[in-house]
Amino acid sequence: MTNKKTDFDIIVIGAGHAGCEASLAAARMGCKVLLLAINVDKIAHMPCNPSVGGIGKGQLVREIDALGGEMARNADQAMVQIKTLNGSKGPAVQALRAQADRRKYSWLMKRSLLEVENLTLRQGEVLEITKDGSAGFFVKSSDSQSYSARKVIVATGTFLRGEIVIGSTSAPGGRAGELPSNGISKALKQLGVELGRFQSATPPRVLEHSVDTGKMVVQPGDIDPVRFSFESAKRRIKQRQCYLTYTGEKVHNVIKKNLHLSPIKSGSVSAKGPRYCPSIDRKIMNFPDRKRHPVFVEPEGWRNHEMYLQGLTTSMPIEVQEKIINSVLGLEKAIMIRPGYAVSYDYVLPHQLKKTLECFLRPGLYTAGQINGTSGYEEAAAQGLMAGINAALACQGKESLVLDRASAYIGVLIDDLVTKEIDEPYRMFTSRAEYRLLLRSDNADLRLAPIGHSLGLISDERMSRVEKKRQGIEACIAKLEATPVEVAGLLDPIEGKRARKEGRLRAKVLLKRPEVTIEQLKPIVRLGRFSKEIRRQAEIEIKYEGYIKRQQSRITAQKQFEKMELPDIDFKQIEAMSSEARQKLDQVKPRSLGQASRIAGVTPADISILMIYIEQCRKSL
Amino acid sequence: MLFDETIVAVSTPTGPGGIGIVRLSGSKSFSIIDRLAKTRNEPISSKKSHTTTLAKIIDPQTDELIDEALITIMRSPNSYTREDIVEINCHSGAVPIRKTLEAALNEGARLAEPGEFTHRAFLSGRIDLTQAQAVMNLVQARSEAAGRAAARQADGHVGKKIELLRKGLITLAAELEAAIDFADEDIESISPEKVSHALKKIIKEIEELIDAVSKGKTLDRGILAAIIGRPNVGKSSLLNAVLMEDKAITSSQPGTTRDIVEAQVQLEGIPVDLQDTAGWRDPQDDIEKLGLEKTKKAIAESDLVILVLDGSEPLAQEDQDLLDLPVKSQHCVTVVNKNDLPRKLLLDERLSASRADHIVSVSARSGDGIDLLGKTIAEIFGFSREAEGHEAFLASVKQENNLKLAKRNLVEADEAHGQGFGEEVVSTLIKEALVNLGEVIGTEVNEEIIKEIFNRFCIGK
Ligand SMILES: Nc1nc2c(ncn2[C@@H]2O[C@H](COP(=O)(O)OP(=O)(O)OP(=O)(O)O)[C@@H](O)[C@H]2O)c(=O)[nH]1
Ligand SMILES: [Mg+2]
Repeated sequence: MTNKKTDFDIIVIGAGHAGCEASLAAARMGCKVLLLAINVDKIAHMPCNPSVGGIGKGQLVREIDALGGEMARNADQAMVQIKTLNGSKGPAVQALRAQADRRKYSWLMKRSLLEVENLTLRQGEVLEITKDGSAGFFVKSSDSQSYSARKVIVATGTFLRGEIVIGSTSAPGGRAGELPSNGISKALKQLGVELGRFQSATPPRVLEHSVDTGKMVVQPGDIDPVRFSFESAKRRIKQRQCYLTYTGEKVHNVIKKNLHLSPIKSGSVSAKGPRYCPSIDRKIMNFPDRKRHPVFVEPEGWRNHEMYLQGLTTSMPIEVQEKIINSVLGLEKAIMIRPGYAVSYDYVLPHQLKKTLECFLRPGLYTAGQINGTSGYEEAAAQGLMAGINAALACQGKESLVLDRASAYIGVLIDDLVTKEIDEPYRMFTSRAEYRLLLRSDNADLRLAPIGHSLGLISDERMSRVEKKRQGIEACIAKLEATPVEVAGLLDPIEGKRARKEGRLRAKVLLKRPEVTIEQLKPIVRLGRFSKEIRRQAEIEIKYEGYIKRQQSRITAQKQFEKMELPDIDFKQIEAMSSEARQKLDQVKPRSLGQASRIAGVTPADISILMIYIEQCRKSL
Repeated sequence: MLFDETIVAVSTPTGPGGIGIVRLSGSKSFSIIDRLAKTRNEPISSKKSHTTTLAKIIDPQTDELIDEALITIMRSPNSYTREDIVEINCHSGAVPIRKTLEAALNEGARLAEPGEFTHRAFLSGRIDLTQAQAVMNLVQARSEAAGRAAARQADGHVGKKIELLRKGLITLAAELEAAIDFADEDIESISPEKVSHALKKIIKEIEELIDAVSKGKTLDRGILAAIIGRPNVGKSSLLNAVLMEDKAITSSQPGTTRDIVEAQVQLEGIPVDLQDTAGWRDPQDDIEKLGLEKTKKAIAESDLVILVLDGSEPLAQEDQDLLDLPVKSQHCVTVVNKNDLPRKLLLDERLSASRADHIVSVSARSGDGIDLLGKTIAEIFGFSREAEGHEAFLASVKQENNLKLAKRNLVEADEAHGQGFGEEVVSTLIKEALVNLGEVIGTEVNEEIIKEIFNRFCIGK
């Protein structure tokens, strides 16, 4: 019922990585969107390292691109360096990581926001979010403006009751130099949303020309770089270098001597922080035998004169931070510009969300990004995209979009968030994806572009390119399947003897051998008409085929399960189930049998009972 | 639960020398029976629905004769589950039943979860909801009994070995996964030789374990009984009285027993594993704290709780606490000891039914009432003992089957590694083995591995 007129279809609060993707997607899908930024100079800001991608995260960026999101394109244009990680490993675990120019990234994103029709960007701090009867929400900002909308997406990152800690001082702050938002915490609580508290931290930055890079190991970008976006042009680009140095005994002594000043010791940083991003103090406490720890010295842009000290995260007092920095090889004379700090903040306990990122309790209210207890720009952007898409679909009365664990890392991310107990800021790793061999960076477009296209986020032209690629791969595989090859001609002369006995084999069978590459077969099988990219896809598919098939059968089974939706059940009522299962189910409120089966403490017997229960509900309808 | 899977179970309890039916349901039932059953002429699967045939059951992997059995087939949809069902009536006892079951598992069937046949029957519309619910309540009791059997097993020799193997695999997977997910960190990655060595070593250990398990099949396990009570009520004296030997130390000092004392005894022909526990009270030191933990664990795993009260003293707070202790599906016997002394104990008539049903008055000192205690226990388990034994039996079949599945995955991992496949493939197969061994789902294994990575490596830039 939308008799009442609202100003907007969707209001997005926060213009970080999640907020930008959310508002772009929703506006591109035709919704009238208002994006409220606390500071329009900090759009898609990167308060930590201005780097995009990485192992697991790079896959997310590719998926965002394949669905029609912005992050990949933006990163391609704003990068100062890019490289493929895990290049020597299997294709399933290769990923891109780029170092970006922080300011360029921000203004490019701002430009994209301003270019899109239906999207209004406005600076303003939100003080209140209230329910407006059944029609939607009111959002009030500190400059006494009031807006109404049918859906609200809250994407305020670490700003909720943010508290910044350096040494013994702690002060309210969303990011260094910026005030936190206390109103939204309160507003969310009033709407019945439960909050938890997490912590995160960032290292100090130093003046570029004060760094002696001559003493460090140069870390160049790739010579023939690949791009995040499947659509970005593949021309050569200028790149900047990163550097690697190490801490040593001297650094460790400084830290040990000052450990009593470390907030992690004194307890002023007590909220739960991420294991994968420990401070240098903690590293030295937890791994006392390590003689050195790496420090990556990375530019923060083309011309911003600051270097990021990856590996030196700390929130020790400023004088100690300087001492630590100056004890590192190559940083003896480095001048610190910004100290490292820790920030603790409220986050939304994500089990309160549906897989559309809408709150169970408050239909129409979505949360996305770091506010949901994740870390990282990529995780945030992925959620923003999905929240934006789903809010738009809901506005248009269409069916929601949920990606499952077998179709995308984004699906793994959201399923984990709403199902698991999250006790540290959640970061993506490839090891979280059980169907990792399928969810590759290289096939993200094949997997997801059709979905992006059906949403209207991928153009027809782009879709037809993807379709052509798919057909090319199929044709290439068919050719390999059909063409017999003389084995002897392929293998090296030492092995020739054995090989000759083998006679002729189908090219596809040969290609399954790890030592045979498609490029070797190219002249023999005449694969010249297929592009290099297509050949590579064909090769990957064939090499992984056996393992992918195994996963596929599990996926089919799992899908059946995932399809069995759970109605609104009072799980506590199902007496035949163990009390542990009842409690866990009541907490997580799974929406499908598949999700229920992934909850720790829920046994197959409990699932059996649940199935009977659903059937009972269905029949009594 | 996944309907394209064929499930197998033993449908009647395996009493010693009794008859048991191995039942298969699912699309592969007929092809499996054709592999297991030797017939003179046409294969069993070509017979008419609801016909019974006498045939030799052989193990297709070894060609060994397992048993001679009556085999009934029921064609879909005219069966209990509306799927193809095969029932194999083994008639010479527990060993052939087990072997038949194992052979079916080797041929691709999966061990049914408690209640799964009923579950399929319900979903296919064969039985109605009230019937299904009635069965489900039994299923719940069964899965609790199965849970206890599994917990007991996890604590047993083989269980502990499996836990060690899992640890080894978690470490190996953590090494491989760290090399993938944290390749850009300063961590030393594991060499291919080490991976191969570790895999081969674990495969060999699993093989040895499978061997040991299949040789040392102990089908008849005792009932696990925990003797609990506050200090000095005479728990240890009771144990000694039942055993008719001085197994446990007794003294008038409260807190004599600090650790669990175990003993085996036959009560009316039923094997019982008795566990004498430390006196139940607020722990006075760390040792008592540990003792209390062990007592709690013993209670949780037991089939029978024997609560001892001192009849010569009024009811103490600890006694009341123990009387109020929630017991899930275990059976309970309350023993009022020291009946050679004047009775001062008054039992509240509000005792819960599970407690009030079986109260026995004894004197551990004079031996009075000990016989009655034995009879009471035998009576309690006269009906359900078979079921408990059945769960223990199934748990051990499952354990062996899990080991075999894990081995298969690891052998494949080793092959893939040898052929030059990368960490991402090898690790995927190791994770599957971990799922087999731990009976957990994949996402839980991933969590375990990620945790191990952070323990082992200094991650974080
Ligand atoms: N008169 C009488 N004394 C008994 C009887 N049973 C045990 N006692 C005495 O009670 C005291 C405690 O006996 P234990 O068997 O050591 O008691 P417990 O419950 O094992 O005590 P803790 O191990 O300390 O928890 C000893 O002095 C026993 O001789 C009985 O039936 N009659
Ligand atoms: Mg004792």
